[in-house]
Amino acid sequence: MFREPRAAIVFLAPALILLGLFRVLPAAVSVGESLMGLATPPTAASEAIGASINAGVGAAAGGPTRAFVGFSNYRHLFTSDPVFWGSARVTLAYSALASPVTVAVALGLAFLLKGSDRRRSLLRTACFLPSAISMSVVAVVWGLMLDPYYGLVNSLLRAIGLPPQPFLNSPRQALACLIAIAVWRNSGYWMMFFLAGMQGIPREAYEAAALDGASKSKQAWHITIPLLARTVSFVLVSNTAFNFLTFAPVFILTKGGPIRSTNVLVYESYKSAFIGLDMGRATAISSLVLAAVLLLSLAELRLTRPKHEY
Amino acid sequence: MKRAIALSVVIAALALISLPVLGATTLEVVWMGWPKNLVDAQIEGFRKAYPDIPVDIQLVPFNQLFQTLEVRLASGHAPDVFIVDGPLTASYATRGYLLPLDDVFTETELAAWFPSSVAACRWNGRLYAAPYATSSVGLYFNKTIFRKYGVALPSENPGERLTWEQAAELARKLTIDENHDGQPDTWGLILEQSDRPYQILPLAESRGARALSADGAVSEGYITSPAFIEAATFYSKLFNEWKVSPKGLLEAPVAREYFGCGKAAMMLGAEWNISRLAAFKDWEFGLAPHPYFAGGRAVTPTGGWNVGIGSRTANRDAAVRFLKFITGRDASIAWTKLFGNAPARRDVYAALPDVFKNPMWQVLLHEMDTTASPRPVTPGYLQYESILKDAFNAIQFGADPASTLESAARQIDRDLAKYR
Repeated sequence: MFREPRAAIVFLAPALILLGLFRVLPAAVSVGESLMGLATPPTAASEAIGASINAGVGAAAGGPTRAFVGFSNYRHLFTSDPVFWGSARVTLAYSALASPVTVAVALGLAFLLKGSDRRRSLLRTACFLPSAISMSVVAVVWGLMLDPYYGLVNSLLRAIGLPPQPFLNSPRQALACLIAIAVWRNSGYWMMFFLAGMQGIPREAYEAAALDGASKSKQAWHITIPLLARTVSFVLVSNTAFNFLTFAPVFILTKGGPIRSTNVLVYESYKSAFIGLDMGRATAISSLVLAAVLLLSLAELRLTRPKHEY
Repeated sequence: MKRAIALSVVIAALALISLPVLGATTLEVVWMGWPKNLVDAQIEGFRKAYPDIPVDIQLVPFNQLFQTLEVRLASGHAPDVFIVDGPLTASYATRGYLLPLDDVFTETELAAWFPSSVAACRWNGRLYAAPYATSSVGLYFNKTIFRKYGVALPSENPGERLTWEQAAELARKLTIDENHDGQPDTWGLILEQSDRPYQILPLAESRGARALSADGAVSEGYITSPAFIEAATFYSKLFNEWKVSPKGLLEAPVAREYFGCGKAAMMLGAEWNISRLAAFKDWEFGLAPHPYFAGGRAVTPTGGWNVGIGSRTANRDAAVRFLKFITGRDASIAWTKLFGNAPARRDVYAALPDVFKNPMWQVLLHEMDTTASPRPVTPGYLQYESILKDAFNAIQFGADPASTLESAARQIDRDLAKYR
């Protein structure tokens, strides 16, 4: 495969080691943890803890004993956990809307803003800027602007004679607001990938089409879009994974509410781990999210496999 | 290659030099994220008294404090000393995270605190923390707004306590949309902690409900009792039917700003607002006793912060010194002057007559003596509180009180089962 396998390994090693240490290993630990649960009857456990404190061992016992419980955490999720199912629906709705809309907006922006004149490059920078701001800052600022009582957006709505909206306070609008914030923040970023992809398309294709009398829109439809398939595929897959793992805006703006309307799986897993102190359920959820992202990515890669190579 | 070796040597040397700084001698303290300059002033006091004990104080904001502590405690990297929310003391003690302190304080030393504050530090007959602050809640009102709209001021006399029905009536009168844009410019009543059980549970208790079974293990039948649901329905009406409270005003500091800037006529709020509200010069404020439901009894929130020592500390002596300093008389007096918490030590009240003769404090001191009801004690308090908070939050946004509380009870009881 490699002409110099040793050199390849040496060059890849740092990235592989870091990937293994910070991505693969935690994922594996999490999957392992999802097969663990509470075992001994807690009365006995609390006595054991009392004894261990007396012996000076302290937190070593740290709560009821854990043991291997097989797939019972998963069984519970699938058979008798309506909160999990609600959360799964919210996550799917979020991804199913946020990902295609982001890709469409990013592609649209790329078409509008390709080219090298000054005005376009200024606009490109403006579109890219939101993605350079930390998601936490974005969330806080949008939270202020969307405040139902004193926010800027409602002031604007009132100024043009429209009724004020509850936005993040409404179980029907909150998820849509989060999607809009995600699209606003991420479209400029993915636009850059499309612009890069467009630059990779050979000029000759356009010249030949122009000679044959194809209009600009025909060229876009028959040349640019088919030849961008590889980029679209990459952006769609990355963006779907990214949206599936959304946490910060939910944590900062809605805490999963109102009435669980924005309770995405990653946030539910976080709550389960650090508030419910139920690591088994938390890691089972995160393992399922991991599996879902893998499956979705494979499906998207297959569906968007490019028909044309160049 | 030579440069790489030299670089490694430098890095290794730096690592060796920095080891003693991070070593066992530095006392690691995790503390509530109160304004940093105020906490720093307290810590400076300790550094002056014990120059030989280096302290690393880590401030964590209220909203992240319990989760941060949870992660650190569960991972075995507990700080030497940490601030403990009153009702979480039992939870940490059951799981072996706190060092028992029975031999640290004499009976005479313990007598300096309110008995209820010391009781909140005990679990299964042992002392696991020292009291730092307690708390109380009353009905603040903006006298200027009441006068402007010709509404009679509520009485500040505990004998003439408003019922919740009367308070809601006042709130309806004072929810005012001056410019007719569909959004109130003045809200009738806001709750400082609008979805936290600390402030909402006393409503249910005033109706005669209990928050949890006596053994702290069951919520079904308690938070789903008719009395509890009636109280939750009243709470829901404030936001959804009468619309006298803004939905989603969930952060206490923001609620205080609303009230301080005259955007609300009344605020159910805790004692620390007494000193804070002095900063808002444009308005005149008063404090009425906590309302109660007609036919029920007066109940007010209480409870506060404790200070504990990690059970696996390697700095036991230094940790005890810090604990005794920070919960001692002098530091408590300083903290009361700086922040305005209700101190858990009785001697502070005698030492600061000027602060506590304020009529607002007098109302709250009366509540602390007569109507205060601590939150339920259970090893699963963190889960109990969090699930109930989500339920109140949903009810605030319009969810049906009965079914929301039933679903919360099922979730809570599943989580509490592990302690049974």
